[in-house]
Parts: sequence; C-alpha cells; structure tokens
Amino acid sequence: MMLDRVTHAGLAVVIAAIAAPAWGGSPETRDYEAPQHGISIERRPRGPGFLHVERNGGLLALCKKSGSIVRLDPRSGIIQTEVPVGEGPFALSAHPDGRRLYVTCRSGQEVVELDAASLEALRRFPLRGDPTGVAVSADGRRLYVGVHSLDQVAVLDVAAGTEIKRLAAGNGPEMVRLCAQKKRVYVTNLLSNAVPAGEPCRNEITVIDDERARVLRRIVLENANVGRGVAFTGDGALAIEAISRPKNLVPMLQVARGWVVTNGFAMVSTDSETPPVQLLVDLPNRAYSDPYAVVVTPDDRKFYLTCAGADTVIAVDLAAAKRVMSEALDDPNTRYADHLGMARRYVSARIAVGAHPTALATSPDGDRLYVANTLDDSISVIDTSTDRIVNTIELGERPALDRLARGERFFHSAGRTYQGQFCCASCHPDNGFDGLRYDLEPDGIGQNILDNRNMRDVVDTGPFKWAGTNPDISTQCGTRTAKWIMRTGWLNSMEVVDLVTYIHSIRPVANPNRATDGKLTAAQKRGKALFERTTTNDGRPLADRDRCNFCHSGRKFTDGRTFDIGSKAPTDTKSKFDTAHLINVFESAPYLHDGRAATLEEMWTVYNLDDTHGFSSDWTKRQLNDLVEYLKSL
Amino acid sequence: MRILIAVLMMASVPVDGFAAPPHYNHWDTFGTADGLPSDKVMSVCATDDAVWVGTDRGLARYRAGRWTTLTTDDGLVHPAVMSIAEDPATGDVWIGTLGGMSRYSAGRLDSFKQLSSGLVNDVVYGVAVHRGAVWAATAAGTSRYEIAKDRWTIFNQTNTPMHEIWCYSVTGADDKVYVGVWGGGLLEYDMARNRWRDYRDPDGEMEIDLFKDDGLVHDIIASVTYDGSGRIWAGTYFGLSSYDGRKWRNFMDHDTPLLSNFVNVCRAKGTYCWIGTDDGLNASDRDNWWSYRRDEKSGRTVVTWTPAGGAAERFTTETAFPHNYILGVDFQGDDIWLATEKGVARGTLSMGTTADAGARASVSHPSDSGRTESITKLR
Repeated sequence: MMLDRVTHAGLAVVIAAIAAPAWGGSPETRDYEAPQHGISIERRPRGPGFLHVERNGGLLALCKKSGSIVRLDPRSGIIQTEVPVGEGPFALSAHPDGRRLYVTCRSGQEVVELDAASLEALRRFPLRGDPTGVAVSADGRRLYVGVHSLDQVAVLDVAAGTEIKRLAAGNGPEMVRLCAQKKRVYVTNLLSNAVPAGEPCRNEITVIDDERARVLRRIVLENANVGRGVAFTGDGALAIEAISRPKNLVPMLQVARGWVVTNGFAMVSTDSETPPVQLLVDLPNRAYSDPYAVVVTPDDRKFYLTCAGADTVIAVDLAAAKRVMSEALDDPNTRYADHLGMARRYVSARIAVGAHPTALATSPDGDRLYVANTLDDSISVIDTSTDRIVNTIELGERPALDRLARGERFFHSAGRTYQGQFCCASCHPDNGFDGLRYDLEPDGIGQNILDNRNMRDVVDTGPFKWAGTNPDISTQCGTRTAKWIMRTGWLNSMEVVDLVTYIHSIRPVANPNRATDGKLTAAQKRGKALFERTTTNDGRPLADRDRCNFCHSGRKFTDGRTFDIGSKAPTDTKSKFDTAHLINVFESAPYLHDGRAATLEEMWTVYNLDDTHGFSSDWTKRQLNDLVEYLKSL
Repeated sequence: MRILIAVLMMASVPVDGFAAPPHYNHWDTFGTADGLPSDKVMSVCATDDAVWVGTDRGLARYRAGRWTTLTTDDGLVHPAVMSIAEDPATGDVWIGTLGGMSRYSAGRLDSFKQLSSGLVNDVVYGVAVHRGAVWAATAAGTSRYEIAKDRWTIFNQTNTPMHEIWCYSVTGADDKVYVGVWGGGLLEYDMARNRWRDYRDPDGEMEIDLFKDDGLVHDIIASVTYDGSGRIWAGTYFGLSSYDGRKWRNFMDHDTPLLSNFVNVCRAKGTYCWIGTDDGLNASDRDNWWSYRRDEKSGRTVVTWTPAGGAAERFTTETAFPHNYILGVDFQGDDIWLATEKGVARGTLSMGTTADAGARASVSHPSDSGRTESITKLR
C-alpha cells in the first residue's frame, strides 16, 4: 500500500508541529536515531537507490523497494512527501525546463514522466528490456534510456513520447549521464563485452554525441567489469566511472593471498582519444568492494566513490588523482591499474556509512554529501570539509531486520570475506551474474574452469554447482562458500538460513522476448514444437536423451540430474554436468559449463557436432533460429 | 511548391539551350598506393562524412582526405566485403562479406555468422538497413534482423515465393523491401501486410526478351534499387528493368544506350538510376541516358549524352575511372564513387577540363529531396 501524499499546506502544519533539531552531539559518535518526519511514514522497506538534488536544495530519493520517490529537506532531515512512481525505480533525470523529471522503472518496464513540483506522474512510456539509466538531452527534446537486457540505448522523443531509435551499447547498459559541457552522453555498462574464452574481460563506456544522437566513441576498460556510476568534473573534461577489476583468470585459490577482485575507478578524458586510466581504492591488505556511485564536488577538489560491499564512501583528492593519471599515461609499463599501494596517494578519507551505499549527491553549494544506504533505508549526510558524517536521515522507522533483510545484507556485504575482497553481489551484480568464467575449485591451477551462473529464480533448480554435487542452496552457498570462496571459515546456521531465504526471494527480470500476454510468436511456437519433438525431421523416433525436453523438463526446464553431453574439456576433472535451468536463458551468455559457447546457437552449431547434447544434426537453420527464439522466451 | 520548382527550373535553363544534366568530368582514382587493402574493390557506401570501400582484402574508410583500413586483424568477420550499408538513424555501418556480416559502430566491430547468430548464411552479397531492420541477401535466403527486438527472421523457399535462394541484392523502398534473387527474379515484401510477392521474367530462363516490356527482363538479378519516385530498378545479367508499380520497361544494349546487358549494380539518385556494368557506367531516368566508358588507349572517359528522342552528344574528359568493370556506385553530395576492378574512383562535377570544352552552362538537377539545385558544369 502506498502512502497518501500530504498537501503542502498540511505539510507545513505538520512540520511546524514536529520539527526539532535533527541531530545533536558528536556526529562521529551519533548513530542512527529516530527520524524526524514531516509526514507519517509507514514502516516498510524502501531501498533508496538514486539521489537527485533539486534546484532549491531539496533532495529526492528513488526507493526501489517501495516503488516510490521521497522528497526531503536534507538540512533538517524532514521528509516532505512520498509518492508512488512505479515498480523498481532505478534512475532519474531532470528536464532542463525544470518542470519535469524522468524516472526509469526496471520492474515496471517503463519510463515515467513526473511533474517536478508535485511529483505526480504525467505520462508513462512503456519500455521493455529492463530500462536502467536515463538522461535528458541538453535541448530537452530526447531521452536516452539504457535497455539492459538488449544491450541498447533507446532514444525517445520527449514531446511525442515515442521511440526514435536504438543505439548499440556495451553489455548491459547501467547508468546514463549527460555531460552537458561536452554535449556527450556517457553510458556505463555493467558487464564486459564478449571476449573469447580465456581472455581478460573488457568493459565499455559508450559515448553518444548528444547533437546527433549517435554513438561517437567506445572506450574500452581492459580487465574491468561491473561498470556502475559515472560523474564529470565541472568543466566536463574528465569522466570518472566506478569499476571492479576481477582477476577471473587467476584461480580463486588466490583469495587467501588477496587480489582476486580489486576495486576502483576509471578516469577518462572526454576531450581526446587519451587512453583511460584505471586506479584502485583498495589497500594491500584491505579491499573496498563493489564500487558503485560517483560524484564530483562542485569545486572540483575531490570526488566521492561508494564501495557498496564495504559500506564505505571513499573521498579522492582529484588533483592528486590527476597527477597519478598523468604518470600512468607517461609510464605504460607500470601497472598502475593493479597497484595496491597507489591509493594512499589520492584517497583522502574512508568514511563508514550505512548498509550498501549505492547513490551519491552533493548539495548545490557542495558543503554536504548525501549517501543513500540502500539496505538500511537511510541517508548519510557528510560534511565535505571534514569528510565526517553530520547527520543520518532514516526514511521511515526502520523495520526490524528479518531473515530476508539479514540475508540481503549478507549477500551484499564483503565483511565476511577475507580482507573484504568481495561479496556475493560482486560476482552476482544485481542478483544476477557477471558474465565471466572462473577457476573456483581448489583442485589444481587451471582446472575446472566454470561459467558463472545466474542467481535469479533459482528455486527448484537444484542440484547446484555445475557438477551437480550440492543438493540445495544451503549447501552451495553456505559453509562451502565460506570455506572455499570467502576463506573466512564457517557460517552459523542462522546466517545460512538468512542467505538462503534471500537467494530464494530473487526474482527474474522481465523477459523482453516474451509477450506480455504470454502468447508465443509463430517462430516461438515452431521452436517449442522442436523443443518437444519426439521424432526426427524424417519421422524416426528420438531416444529420450536426444529430446530437449527430456532433460530440460518441468517448470524450470531442468530434471535435476547430471549428464555427459560431450562437453568435457581437457581441463575438466568430470564429464557429467548439471542440467541447466532455462529461465531467462536469453540473458546468461556465455553458455555451457565453461562458457565456451558465446551464443545459444553455438551450443549446437559448434559444440554438438556428435549429437551428444540432444539430436540436432537434422535441424535446418530455420529450425535452429526458431528454437533460439523459443528459448529466449522462457 | 510545384509551381515554384517549375519557375526555378525555367529560370535555370541555360541561354545556349543545353538542357542535359551535369556530368562527371573529373575522376580521381584510389588504390593500394593510397592505402586501400586491395585494388579489387567490390562495394562502396558513402555516408555524410565518410566513404566506405569494400575490397577482397578488407574494408577501407575515406574520411577527411585520409584512408584507414579495417581487416580481419581488426575484427572484420571476413576479408571479402561484398556490400556495405549505413543505418541512417544510428550511423552504424553494416558490412556483408563472404564469411558473415559485421557491424561497425563507433570503432567496434561486431560479428554475425550463421553458426553464432540468426544470420541464415555467411555468404552475404547484399545488405540494407530500412526502418530499424537490417536485411541481408545471402546465398541461402534473406535474413532480417530487427534491431530493437534483437530478433532474426529467415526468408527462403519455405515462406516466400523464392524459387531460388541465391539472393544477391536487397533494398528498402518506403513500406516495402525488394530482394533481387540470382535466378529467382525480384521479390517484394510488403511490411504492413507481412506478405511477399514475386516478379519473374515472363519468358522464363530465356536470354532474350520475347515480348518487350512484358515484365522483368530476366530472372538473374544482380542488383536492385529504389529511386524514391515509386520506381524500382533491377539490374540483371541480361539487361535492365524498371517498374513503376504499373508498367515494366526493359532496357538492353541493342536498343538503348545501355553499355552492356551484364549489369553488376544499380543505384538510384533522384529520378536517375546509375548502372554499373561490366563495360562502363550508365545513368538513366528511363528516357534520357548518360554513358561513361573508359577508353583504355587514351586513358580518358568517353561520355555520351542521349536525350529522349534527340541525337547523342559525345564528350571526352581528361581523366577516367580505373576500369570499366564496375561493381559499386554511391554518392556523397555531388560526388559519385565507383567500385571497380582496379580501384575506387571519385567523380566530380566541377573540376577538370574536357577535350571539347565549351561554354559553362547552368543546368537543373533534381536532387533526392526533390528540390532543384543549380550546378555549374563544364562542357
């Protein structure tokens, strides 16, 4: 149930009645206290995940769990209004006329136009494919919206409310930001572009020419993945993006030695073809996992970066970072991007904030930094002159942490991993997967390379692990994970229950290949018939194992067994692998247990030449296309 | 508006009475010495700010007076580039090769192959981008890739009247798409109705035209183009056909100025269709004809203007394109670009001299947009 909004007149009365000094005492010692609210706030999870500062200094918080937008006075901490906006609001961009706001709703599959004053929804633009970041063009005529599931940026006509075209983005566009000074739109991408098996990941920043609405440049960040927020210096000359640097080609044995996933940012010159420079915020024996949001202070003295898995905001001295960037450009032989001793030269503060900080904004004068702590429904207010917390605003009375909430925190916190190197969400960002292959097992270096798997909708898809040796999520993600991956020892039974509860709650993203009414297209129907066929094209009966739906059976399209489908590689120690479930298989490339198949087609055209993965040698190309269309709809 | 155009056209008729369209009287040639990967140029595509050239050894781009190359080392899916098309909305360039299709987008090359995507066949002769979809004419049917939906569709003998599946050329035409099939005639796809129909040579496989203008001149179609005024042009290996929605008109070398019945490529601009043959270049609006042929002995171009019902006029230009075997034609502004057997050529309207140079004349030249441009030419 959404809250009713209160009128401004009524609000003033309420504020007058309850307004009180928000916080007293030492900001350093003061932890969360009872919130001061201008309206009655229902106790429920909100999950603030995007912040926007209004021209008058007011603060807007998009809350993805409650599907609402909250307006508050960040100075007093008083919440002024909360308005439902849609399912899973993710990002917001203000129209240059100051009268309209545009919000993407990932779960709702739409972009919502809001009245900037009242926050009332004016129009809704359906946009299938998991809309993520959004930016309004400098002239206010176009919207650029990331379409995560299809690796595209949709360009919409604001006046007409219609789509103009789609631009090819990187893999999983995430944040979309206008660099007004340069008339460029920067699109970060969550995942690496496709790379051949065994090669390092390559994350892309897609740069769009705002005047022509065309992709102008693609900046490749070698060895980087999970691109998140991006911000610009005041003159627009420099873009800074939050990134991770996974060492997925190194056996996870290295966890005990540190250095498997490092964390930092990329600095990109917007004026030239100067190569980007990546720098870390980690220390030699302490990682700051899951870089997420970035903001540059208005005076360009520093920028802030949230490390969501470390519940920390990092302050970076911009001038110092620029000096190191310059050195890195002059000295390509030094591995600045991997240098764990470098951060001390530019990191000026590490500020502990609330749980899972994923959004940042500064006040118009730059005196205050606002941090959205997504998993404890609070906003930290930091004095940028001292880099100390001066206030913490709670978005409603904090509900007691139940199993689900505890599990969610565990999933997103690196606190239990050796040296805080990573958390579940580091390799399963957005509860999904990172598209990489890993050598996870302590069975020898270079053996059993495995494709990372999607964590969404895994209920009833056991057993787990590609070898199918773990019967349930408790086994897969419990103590085994702690011992072999996190390298910190055992989880207690309550922690395991919490984590499993959360993992079981993860829902799949909306599938853009499936009609909203559930009806299949003609091609999908033909593909379904092929999936379920019992005879060859020339009428001969098919053995059970030669049929798709013999193994890929049931509601999740898995029979819970392991099979030898001829995919054993020289580096594998086993030949039987788990029957993968097929829910939203369209989004989980690459395929097969070691990710050798770059596309669904390749599973049969390249890696099933002996009909060991179902009988496919009599398929026509058209049948294969039909099957792929059907699989993509599941 | 029409009255205004008529007035403008009348005002631009030269005082000496010369009413021919302008012709290209200067040619620049580019080859391996200029940076192309090969002199065997098989396709050309001009965009606002660049010219893309496909050779048997990779792709080259001409921009701001400089050539740069893209080969398989850079990620091109195959070296033999048969066709190139720009997506006018995004600026992405789609490249048809003998080993799949590539997309060039702001420096990134993506590959689409029959084993790893929905592309029906890796031998891609023709490529077109029309209304948010990429069309690929291949040796085993035609593929459509709907960009926004990330969805492939195969069109072949199972779902179209495609008597042969060797598709050679494809072009978008308002709410239709035309596919030229090598041996299978011309196919028309009605986008709104999702229906196909075919146009075949009424004479069957015969290499003569028994009844003139009774339909497509031959079923072996190498190229198809749409001129924006409702006419579709089909180049065959046995002549040229044009269809305006009601009537066919056919053109062969024995009864028209067409230089050769062996037509490699057609490219419409304005109301004219430019025809690359195995023996030179033609342009025609059905009634009036230009012919451009390289004279190997002199190294000059012999240009012939044959107005409807009038006597032919012949000109000679000092420069020439490098070879009469022409596989690609495209336009950038007023310049024409030709893909030939021995390099790529750029023809310009306003440079150079002619052997029989006469008075300057200002003539009317209806452009793609329908407005009338006044162009100064030498004759």
